[in-house]
Amino acid sequence: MLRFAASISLFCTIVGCSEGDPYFGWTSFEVAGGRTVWLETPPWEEASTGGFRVPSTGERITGAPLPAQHVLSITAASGDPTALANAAFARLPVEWDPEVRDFAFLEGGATGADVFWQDTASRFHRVSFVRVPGSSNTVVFTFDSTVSLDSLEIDAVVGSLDYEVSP
Amino acid sequence: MRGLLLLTAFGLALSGSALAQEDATSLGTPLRRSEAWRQRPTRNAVDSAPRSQRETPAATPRGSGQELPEQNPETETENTAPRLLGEYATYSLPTAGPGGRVHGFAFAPLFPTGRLRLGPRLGFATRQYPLGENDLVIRADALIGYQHLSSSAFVPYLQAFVGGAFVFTRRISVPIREDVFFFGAELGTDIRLHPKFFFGVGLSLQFSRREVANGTSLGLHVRVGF
Repeated sequence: MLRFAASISLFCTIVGCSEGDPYFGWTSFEVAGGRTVWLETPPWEEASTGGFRVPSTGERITGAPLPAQHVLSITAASGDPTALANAAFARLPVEWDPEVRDFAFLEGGATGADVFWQDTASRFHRVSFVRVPGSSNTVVFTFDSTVSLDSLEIDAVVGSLDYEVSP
Repeated sequence: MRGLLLLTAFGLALSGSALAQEDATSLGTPLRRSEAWRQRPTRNAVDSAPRSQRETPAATPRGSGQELPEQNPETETENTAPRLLGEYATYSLPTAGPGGRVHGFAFAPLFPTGRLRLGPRLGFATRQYPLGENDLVIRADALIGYQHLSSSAFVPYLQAFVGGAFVFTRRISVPIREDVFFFGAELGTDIRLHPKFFFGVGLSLQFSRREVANGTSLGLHVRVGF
């Protein structure tokens, strides 16, 4: 039985079993000066104007261009993520109820700070300032969405920075 | 003397007439019944015979040429396999991202094809997605294989399956449908607990293919059969 299990394990290694890799099936993109992020495609797709977007359900059905459900742009900045997040927080109107949170995602070893707010157009915003290990640079994820961005799926996108899939 | 003889003859004639009349009233019916009895079919004759004289089919000596076919109720249930399966199964179906473990139920009406195990299988399941809502899996596949029928309570089988599934997911609040194609093999046994009730266990190795990646998984199947 043990030999059988070992054989199956070896077989799965050769064929490529999926469980265990958090970004299995996701697509890697090179962004912001040679950094790598992982996105699930679909629903994410590269936007013609740069960055990434998730088309709305109406756009996917009719094909007509409509405001995207999610928009993501990834840029580089210099400075400490927490200081950058606090500076962004200070610029936002109070009525948008902004909020700053520190985070630490385990998968890619990413740490940093988030700023959340919801503007008057009822669109949700999240800017994640991610510290680059061994560097003074910061990678900035700017999300704009029709739904709340305080979710594990968005955390996984931010946490995928420089994540290396095990061979 | 002549008168005595006539008197005697008259007396005998009277007594014979009286006896005949008595037979006609009290003893005459048994006579008619015995006559009808002789005209009955043989089986009725056996039924109406004294219990000590009856011969049951089981008591009939073999080879006598008068044996009736044996009616052993167990014979009807031997060498049979379940016709309708209801099973719980767990396996993995590749998904983009973490998770992918599937738990679901399926039913499979099998064709009465003896040792050929043949039939469709339809199932519903949920696939775990730790970053959000679980996915819904609707799966259909065809089974074909061999099942070993014997007088034993165990009905071991080896079957292949091929089919597809629709996986309905929600990723960052966007509904998406994934189409998955899969095939594999399953080895197991059904155990006859009652002439028409089975319990079965099986292990499967499944290869699945979706748009972005392939997957291989071991599956466990626990079922009841009727």
